[in-house]
Amino acid sequence: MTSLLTIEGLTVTLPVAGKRKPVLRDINLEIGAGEAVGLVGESGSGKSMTARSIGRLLPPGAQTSGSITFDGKPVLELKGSDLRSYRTEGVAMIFQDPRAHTNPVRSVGDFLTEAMRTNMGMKSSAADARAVELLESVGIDDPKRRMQQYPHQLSGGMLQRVMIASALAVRPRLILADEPTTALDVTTQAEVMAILDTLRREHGVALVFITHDLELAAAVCDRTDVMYAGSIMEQQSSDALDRDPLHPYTAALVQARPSISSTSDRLAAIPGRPVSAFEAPNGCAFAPRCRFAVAECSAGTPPLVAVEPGLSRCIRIDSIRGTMTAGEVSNG
Amino acid sequence: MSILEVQSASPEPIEYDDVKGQRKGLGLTGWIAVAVLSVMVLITVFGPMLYTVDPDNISLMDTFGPPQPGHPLGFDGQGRDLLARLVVGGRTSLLGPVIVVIISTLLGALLAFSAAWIGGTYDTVVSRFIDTMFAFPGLLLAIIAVAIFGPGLMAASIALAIGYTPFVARIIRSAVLRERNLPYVSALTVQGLGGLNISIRHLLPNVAGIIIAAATLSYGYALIDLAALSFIGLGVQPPQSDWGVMVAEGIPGLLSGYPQESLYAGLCIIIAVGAVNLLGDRFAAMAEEE
Amino acid sequence: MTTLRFLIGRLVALAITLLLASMAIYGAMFLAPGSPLAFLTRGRTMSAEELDAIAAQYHLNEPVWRQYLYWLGGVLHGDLGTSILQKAPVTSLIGERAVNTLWLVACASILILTVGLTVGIIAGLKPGWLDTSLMLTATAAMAVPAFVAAIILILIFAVNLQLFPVFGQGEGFSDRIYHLVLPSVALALASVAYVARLTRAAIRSEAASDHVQTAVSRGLPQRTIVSRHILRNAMIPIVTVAGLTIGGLIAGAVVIEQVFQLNGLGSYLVEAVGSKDFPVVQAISLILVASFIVLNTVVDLLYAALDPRIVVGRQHS
Repeated sequence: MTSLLTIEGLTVTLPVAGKRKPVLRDINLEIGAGEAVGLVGESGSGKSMTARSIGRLLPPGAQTSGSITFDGKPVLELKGSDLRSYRTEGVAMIFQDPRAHTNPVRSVGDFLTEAMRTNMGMKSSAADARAVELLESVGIDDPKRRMQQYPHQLSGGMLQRVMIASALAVRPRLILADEPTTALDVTTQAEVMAILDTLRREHGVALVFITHDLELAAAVCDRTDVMYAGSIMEQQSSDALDRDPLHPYTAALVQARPSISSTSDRLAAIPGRPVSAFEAPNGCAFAPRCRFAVAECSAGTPPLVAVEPGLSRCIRIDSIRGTMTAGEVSNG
Repeated sequence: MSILEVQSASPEPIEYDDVKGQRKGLGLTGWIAVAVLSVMVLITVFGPMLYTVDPDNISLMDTFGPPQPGHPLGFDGQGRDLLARLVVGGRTSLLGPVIVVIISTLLGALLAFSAAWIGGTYDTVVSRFIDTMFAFPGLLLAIIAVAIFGPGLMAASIALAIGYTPFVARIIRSAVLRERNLPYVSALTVQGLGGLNISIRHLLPNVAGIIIAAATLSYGYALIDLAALSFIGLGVQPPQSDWGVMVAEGIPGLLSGYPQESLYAGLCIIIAVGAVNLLGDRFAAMAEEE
Repeated sequence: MTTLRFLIGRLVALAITLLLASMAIYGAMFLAPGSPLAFLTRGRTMSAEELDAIAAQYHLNEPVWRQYLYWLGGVLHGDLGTSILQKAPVTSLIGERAVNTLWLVACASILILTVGLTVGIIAGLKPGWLDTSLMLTATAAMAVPAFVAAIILILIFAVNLQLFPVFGQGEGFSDRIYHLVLPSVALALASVAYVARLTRAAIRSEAASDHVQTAVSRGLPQRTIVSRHILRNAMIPIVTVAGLTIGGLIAGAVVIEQVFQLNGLGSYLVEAVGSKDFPVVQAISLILVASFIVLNTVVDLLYAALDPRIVVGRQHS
């Protein structure tokens, strides 16, 4: 399968308090057409930053090295109308907080049809008709009335559906969904995810799904990348992730999830706190919190290597594979 | 390059002033403002002791006289020494606003704290009252006060203070409301602390930064308004004088080719207000940073 | 229909504020030391009949609230009282003067809305040396009070360069404008700077907002994003600030009219204070305050028109 999007050796730095610090280190990722890939990690892991890099929405002052290729085009070097076409037909983003990301003084209808009218030159009537179709496809009833309303009149869940609808409006090839359901309650979460999943399969749109929830990623994505401190720690198929994690961090995440079916004396937690890329120590960024760490782990940055059936950045993976999810998470 | 291009351009690094990191504390401009104001205050307070020329000494031979030894700034339209008059006038110009600021800040804080804390109908009534007060510009109130009580700074200052109170009250009220909604306040209430206690010992220190910023900006406005009042003849009366009076007195001179009196006095006002504004801006930024 | 309810609500608030303000202005008279009669007639020699006539005219022997109602009734019928000095109805004395003040405030407002907004928008949209220098100039201009700006302008443009006249308001349209150039620039200067700074801040704030990110992520052209999302949204706080700033001109006009000897309400107010003609002071104060209140209400309504969240309200489904 020829890949739609290829990221190679992407490193991004940002100026932080006057100094330049890395937020992403050596990211490598490939997504094929119609594939769904999950990016899972805690705050500071760089998952959002990766999506922003793909969408070319990095904050001012960001510097990048490495490459991102979309359908053969060098994303990081696009300018002007090429950049705009990339954003129109290539990639669409769905943001975390729909209320903050919609213009409060423009109607829902305007929000949906703006890109269609401006970028695709559609006539208002045609754009409106398509917008109504889109609203129906995301499960919003009475779409004509909704089009006249303003964002503050819709609930969070509805607004996020509107976001999804607008992302699909211009028929992108790849959707970047940055924690689209984190701001919603659990029931609405499930509904919105179902809609997103169904629609993208119907249209054959690739998806990069960013979340801190491993299970959610597994439900929707074929493959999952686990990120920590600005790097990818593990990559493999979603269902294998909790059975057979390829990295101690993933194993710890799996274990830290409270389970409804079993009881335990204490809630397992990973000791310490998640670090961002620029706070990471030399060597493996997870080593300070890892119960399998040895001296060599801090020696040099471990490379991402192929470990059947996925990729892993743990130098000890061959020896500790299969043993990681047994026993207590916290250090004895 | 426009702001949007800045966002999407890559991979060149773009130096952007907002990104360079916040200045902590007063910063260079803040300290310069403090220095300028301190110098002005020192000169006006201690000046007359060191520079003993009599500001009221009329000397008709010297009208509009140029600078000479012993009289570095020359003379005004009545042959009085300009520097001496500036120094003495400065006392009134710099001191008057202090009274205005103290009264308006106290009143404003009282209204704001009580409204934000007690809430409910009291808050609604007080807010409406504050909104109505906004309808009265300070200068207008001062003029009406002069109409009733006669010219002079006392009545005018009180009236100005009342005129500024809504401005100060609104700022403090929003700050207190923001602070009050923070979790630590609920924690204190649960522990049984009363409103007055929480307000004074906990809310006040956290809101102090904003109060100081508002007070500083009010000082600047008061300086201008009091000078304007004196300028139109309703402020300080002879034999007292301030910079506003000097600007007005200097107009005949200005029209006949001797602009010194008006210009020097005007310049003093500009420098003082400029420094105060800079300082107020820095205080406001510091309050934001917290 | 919520728009109607909102409108009515605002108009009611307007009426209440006007009423309260008029009470305050009328009541000020009673703050004076001594009796109201003594206050109104101080400094003048009057015969016993004249004093009685004044007492009757102002109903000074009746309770205070009745006096207020008489006065208010008069005001609502267009009777703004009688000048004690001129012994003529105030309304006849201020007609032309009100027009002069209106001219001045209008010219200054135009300056604020054109120069202030333009400078702010340019500085907001284009970071760089132009932005920095414009903002530095604005900060400096804000420290210059209107009357100081006035004398500096007079010195440079009237006395030295002899480009503009110093005093008076002129006759006829273009002559008026000619005479109003220096006064309106002086009056508007600090306000132009203030509005420019706030406009720039509002634009920067909008440009950094999340919904603009959405617009950028959709590949919309720059022009569209700037006009439909940044400017349109920034207009909400900008209109409010500009409106309030123009309201502030009302007080500033008093001083400017003095400097340039423009025969307006402001200079008449100062004159009346000097000649202890309190009914005139009352009347002009009422006009100025009422104008300010009405202007504020207009700004409120504009704000509501620009921001659908105010009127349309919250209706979650």
